Amino acid sequence: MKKDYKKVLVIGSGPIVIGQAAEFDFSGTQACRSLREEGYKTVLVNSNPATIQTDTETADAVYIEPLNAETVAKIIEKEGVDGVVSGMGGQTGLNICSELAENGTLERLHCELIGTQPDAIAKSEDRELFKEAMMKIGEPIPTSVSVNSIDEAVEAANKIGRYPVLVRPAFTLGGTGGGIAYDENELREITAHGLAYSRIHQVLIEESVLGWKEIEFEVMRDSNDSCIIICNMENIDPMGIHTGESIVCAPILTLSEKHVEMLRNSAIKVMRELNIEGGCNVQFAFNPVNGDYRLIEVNPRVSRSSALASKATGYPIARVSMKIGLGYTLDEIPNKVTGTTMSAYEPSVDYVVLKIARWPFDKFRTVDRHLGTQMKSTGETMAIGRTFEEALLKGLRSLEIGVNGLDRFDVLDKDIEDLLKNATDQRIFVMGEALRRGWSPEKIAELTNWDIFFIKKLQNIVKMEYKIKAGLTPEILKQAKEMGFSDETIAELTGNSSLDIRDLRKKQGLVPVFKMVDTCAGEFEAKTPYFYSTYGKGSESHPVNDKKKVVIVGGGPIRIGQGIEFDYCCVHGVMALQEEGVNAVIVNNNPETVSTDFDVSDRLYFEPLTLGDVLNVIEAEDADGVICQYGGQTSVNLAVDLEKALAGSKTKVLGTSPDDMDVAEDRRRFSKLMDELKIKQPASGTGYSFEEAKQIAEDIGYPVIVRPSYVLGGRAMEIVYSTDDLKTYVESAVKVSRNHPILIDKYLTDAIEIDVDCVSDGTDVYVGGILEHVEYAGCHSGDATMVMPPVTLGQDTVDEILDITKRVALALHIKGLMNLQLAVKDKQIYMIEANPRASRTVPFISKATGIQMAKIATKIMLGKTLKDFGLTGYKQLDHYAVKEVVFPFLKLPGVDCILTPEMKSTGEVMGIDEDFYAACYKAQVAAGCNYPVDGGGVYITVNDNDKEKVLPSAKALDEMGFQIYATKGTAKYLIDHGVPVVTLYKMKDGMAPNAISAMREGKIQMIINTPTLKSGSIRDGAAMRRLAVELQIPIITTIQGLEMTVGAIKVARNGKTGVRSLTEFHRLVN
Amino acid sequence: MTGGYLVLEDGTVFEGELFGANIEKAGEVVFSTGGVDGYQEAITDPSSKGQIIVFTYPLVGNYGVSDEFNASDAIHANGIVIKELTTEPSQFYRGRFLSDFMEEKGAVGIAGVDTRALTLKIRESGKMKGKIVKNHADINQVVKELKSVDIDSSVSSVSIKKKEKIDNGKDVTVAVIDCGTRKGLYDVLSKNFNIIKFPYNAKAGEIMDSGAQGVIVSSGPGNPNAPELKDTIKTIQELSDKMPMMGIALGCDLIALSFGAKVLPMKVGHHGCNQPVKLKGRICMTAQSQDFYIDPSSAEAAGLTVTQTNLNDNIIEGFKHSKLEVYGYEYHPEGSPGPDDTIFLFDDFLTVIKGASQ
Repeated sequence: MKKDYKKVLVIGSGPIVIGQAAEFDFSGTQACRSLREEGYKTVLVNSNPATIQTDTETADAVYIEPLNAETVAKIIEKEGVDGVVSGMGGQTGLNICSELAENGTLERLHCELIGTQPDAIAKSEDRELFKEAMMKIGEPIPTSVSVNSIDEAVEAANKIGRYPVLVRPAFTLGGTGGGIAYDENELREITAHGLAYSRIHQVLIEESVLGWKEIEFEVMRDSNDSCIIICNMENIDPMGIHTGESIVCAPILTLSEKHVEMLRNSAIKVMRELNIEGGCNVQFAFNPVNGDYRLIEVNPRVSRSSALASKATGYPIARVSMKIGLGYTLDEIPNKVTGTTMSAYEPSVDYVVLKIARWPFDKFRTVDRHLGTQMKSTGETMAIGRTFEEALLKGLRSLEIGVNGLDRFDVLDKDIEDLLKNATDQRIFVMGEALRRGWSPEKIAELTNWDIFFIKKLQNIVKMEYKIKAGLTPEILKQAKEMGFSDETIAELTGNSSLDIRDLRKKQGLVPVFKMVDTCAGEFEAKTPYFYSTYGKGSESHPVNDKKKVVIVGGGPIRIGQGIEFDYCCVHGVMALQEEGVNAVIVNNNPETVSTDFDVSDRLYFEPLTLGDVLNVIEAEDADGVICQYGGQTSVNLAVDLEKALAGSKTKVLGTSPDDMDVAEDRRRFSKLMDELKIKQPASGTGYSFEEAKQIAEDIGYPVIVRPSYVLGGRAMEIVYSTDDLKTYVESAVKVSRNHPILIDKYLTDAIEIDVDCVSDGTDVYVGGILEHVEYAGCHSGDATMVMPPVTLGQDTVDEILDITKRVALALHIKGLMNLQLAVKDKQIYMIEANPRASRTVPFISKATGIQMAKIATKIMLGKTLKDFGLTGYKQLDHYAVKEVVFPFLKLPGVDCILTPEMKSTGEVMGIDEDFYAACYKAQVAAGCNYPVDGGGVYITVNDNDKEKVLPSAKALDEMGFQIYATKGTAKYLIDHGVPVVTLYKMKDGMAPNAISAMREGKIQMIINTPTLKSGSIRDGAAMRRLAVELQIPIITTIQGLEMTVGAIKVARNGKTGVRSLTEFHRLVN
Repeated sequence: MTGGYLVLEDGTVFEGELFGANIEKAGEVVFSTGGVDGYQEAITDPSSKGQIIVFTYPLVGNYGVSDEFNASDAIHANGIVIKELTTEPSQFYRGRFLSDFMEEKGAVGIAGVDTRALTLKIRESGKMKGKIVKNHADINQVVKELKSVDIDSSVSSVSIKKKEKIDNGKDVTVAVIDCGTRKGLYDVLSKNFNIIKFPYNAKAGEIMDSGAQGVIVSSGPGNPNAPELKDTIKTIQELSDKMPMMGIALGCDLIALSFGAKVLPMKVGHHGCNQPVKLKGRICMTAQSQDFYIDPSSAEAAGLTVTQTNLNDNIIEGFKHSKLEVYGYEYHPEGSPGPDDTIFLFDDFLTVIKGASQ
């Protein structure tokens, strides 16, 4: 029966980090919808503005505030919340709830946890309590000991009696700080890390089950003690590789009924003992030699796996979990899929689902690519097929890593064994290559610990490649398509173009059919508009005829540079289409996101985002239009090809024409346009050899920004300061040639970078926001801290920016969104680039202003004008919104944390307040910076230009009681100007105290490091910066950033930062 | 593998590749949503006699075939229809290939069929007869033949021939009227009872004299209204007020019939292991191969109190007689194969017998 609450709070999961991505936007949004359906007043808090859940429509009050117990308590008090949902905000949300329960806040504010209760959370999360509970019910877990010190860890390993042992920190995300120790030395090192990352300073030393099969169950339990299994999953990679990194299939493919039943019974027993209500993930290790099993982990909340299970089966786990939390039982919750039955059923599927992780190693070339118990991937893709091969090939080409399937892989014979044995992100391709070179599947199975069943499937793919090469008969083509081969792969194997193959198979009548994901394997009629392609008999997706239909191309897996913000834009596109009475169709393959919730669009297609796959959907839908502006680079890249392929058909690419998009993307055409418009650009050139590049660099003057011409975005982009640097770059980072020239731009030293986002209908332009970067130009805009409105620009500069924006938008005939990146130096404005599409900052600006730009842009694409919305020009905010970003440095040893033109951040947060420094403070706290509010040591190491500029902040810090540390040059300057400083030796002096020793001794709580802009200097501080990351000491790299931090610390010391809902801020604007 | 066809009664033809025994065979085409596993158990279940089973999961045979998974010693299904036959199974169970097993046991299968399209067809049109054939030049002939063919799904062909005892050293002994039982039932019963198995046509007196304190009427193939089962129903009638009784699947229908309820054929039936019922306040998943259902109004008139219905379609899944210790379940509480969610019913039955014996 439904419980009474006056107001219910849902806690989000904050910024996207490795181990916690878009899945919680999906689950939190579903939870809010579910609550409102039941008539509850709802409040939502999340610091991440790039989410659907922080739309003001999602809840009665939406707060973009830092996610910590203190802030959440303020919101509970202010809003009069009496129920807090514990399980929708990932580990972040769960930890906050635990803390609020432990510190008595919930009791004090007469507030209940909804869903899994504190004692159940503790029993699942605290290793010792978990162990006790499992022993009580006789369920096997790996032998293990909780320890609080390194010596205890060694003792525990001795007790277990054999290495390797696992080190697992308590209360962390995605296994942060854990690892496998093969000997005592390693154990000591890993334990030290693990203890530092654990919220309760505790790690578990555990018997190794490396190489066993990893099996997962998604279980749902209600207050009547009904337990059902939503989905079971088999990790194809064995234990030892984090489940977030493993290739995972659903359902389990290689276990017998008896063993599946054994694990199912165990999962249910565990749920009952832990008294978990709602959705829960249970992980097992299964010994493929003798059928033994061990319980590994229980997550008493929705998770990445539950998002995957929801998408894999069609069962809305978050929605049902929420209703269970409210007191409903499974047989009282209607099943939205069938519309006629209840949620008390176990889904059955009639397809193979595969999840494959997406790693950021293309961005971080120095990072160790080996996979282990610590997550390194940023996102994932899911594919559905009627055979394993089909699902795998679709999954691989969904990864957006430039492959069309199990592509050839450049590897030396002698390296294969090692690459099979020690998994990296590339292992699947190495396996394909090994099979092509005649390795036996048995040998590969032995080295990889994969079940031979899966390797034989890879072998089928390789065998088919040979058949295709031997001669593409109609029968072979049919078999290849049924196996999931893309037109592109077949084209490559036969020396054709993919459109040739497409024509060939269409002539043969070989077109995909679309099958429905219906949760019941066809047993009942279902209403889910959720489809996947395959080759077979009956298609179940029939185009509607009474409405216009528009396809939105999604963004694919989350990766660095392409985050959740594009999914936000896609979802807003869907909403806008629906508001205009148009059928909205989504094509996407990311199982974490809101856009792939079958409840969001009118039709959902779970497909790779290649030209061929998207065309298939467009044809099946008989679509009137397709939108390519919202899925980030993935969809933009398809625009031109789609227009070509669709020429003469009824389907139009909506919005800005692909040719105009090309003007913006093509350097030459764009430069020409800027010259015509008399808009300045930094001097630039294209070099086809080192000599040419050197000449250009000398002509325009160092420093210059260099990048290869053939990759988009910030990949492999660098600032070089000298001819030597240039030589190194040309020879090692990129191989410059006639076909692959490098692009060289003048680097504008000390320039302020600006982002502008606007909507245009071709006649008018509305500027949604102007954001000023805190970091200087040269730091990737995705990594920059940004402030809205600009704080250092004069009105004349702002006016000029508005004028430039309008002229560029009209010249590019923008119909929809456009983003500009500009640089301001000495009051001169330079054009860096124009992006004729949804940008990363669109959701941020929309949240700050309350004007939903992506929706308006969609309606403009359908023919409305800005006048229809009463929008034109620009309206400056009366409050401040600060964007901070979060970096994956902790998870990825080997990355320098200095900011460069190459993007490194995974997610973002917003700090919003009437007071500028309060907004800064909120943003920094939300991004997880541990600024030393209570005082401590500050190490200042700045370049010569900045010595003078750092003085006011140094004085302020001194006055606030901080102890300043500096090396000789800076120290002398500061002392001369009346700031007491402890002088440190330089590292190269080889004497203590130096920065490293002071950091290790815990004397330094914050570092200001503005790098010298000259050759080699950036690398100098790398060791210091790495240590800072490990010790979690915040580093500030710009003077403006320091000023903001000093202001923020003052705000924090004054104590009273208030909380305010977005609607309250928007009232200030409108 | 050689090409072949599944021809349905309505003339629809599905093309595929034949495997297993080199025969052509007709049967009633039903679909099973049982999932990846349990294929061997399903085809060796005597209840599947007369059926051509369409597995909705597209990959079949993933972990091979192993004696330990047999529900009986023979393949009873008349044929199977699948999307893909796994020819390179996982080696963990060190089993044989499904195709070899089928060949050895004389059963035929057809692979490469769009089983989802076929499933949706059956869902819409209802179960129908079909035949797996080697060529379809003479479809009309096959269709004509199907209309008149009598598919052998008789209990008499799968029941045991004579009484057998299993002494498990327990206090309580139950009789099982074996209409085509799955092995798993005996494994589960052995935990609580000594067992005496009787053929389907055993007389009531014989059972009463055997010393059994309770009786279980087992699952089995075919139509419970079949003439060959008249004697079984009579036996049930005579025993029902003498000792506690429990009917499983076909046995459940036979008990209902014995009290005068009507048992009717289902359009599609329930085949799989995720059929939800609510028991003692909890949702339980059940394994089923249910093709007939008890008419609700007739159940009431027959003095049967409905204890549980299917949560998806409200079909009666369990009853208790209003006065007698007589219970019926349309599903397999023993699981194996299938969920153990309702296995406690055998403990309950033990308690009932003990109570009745006092």
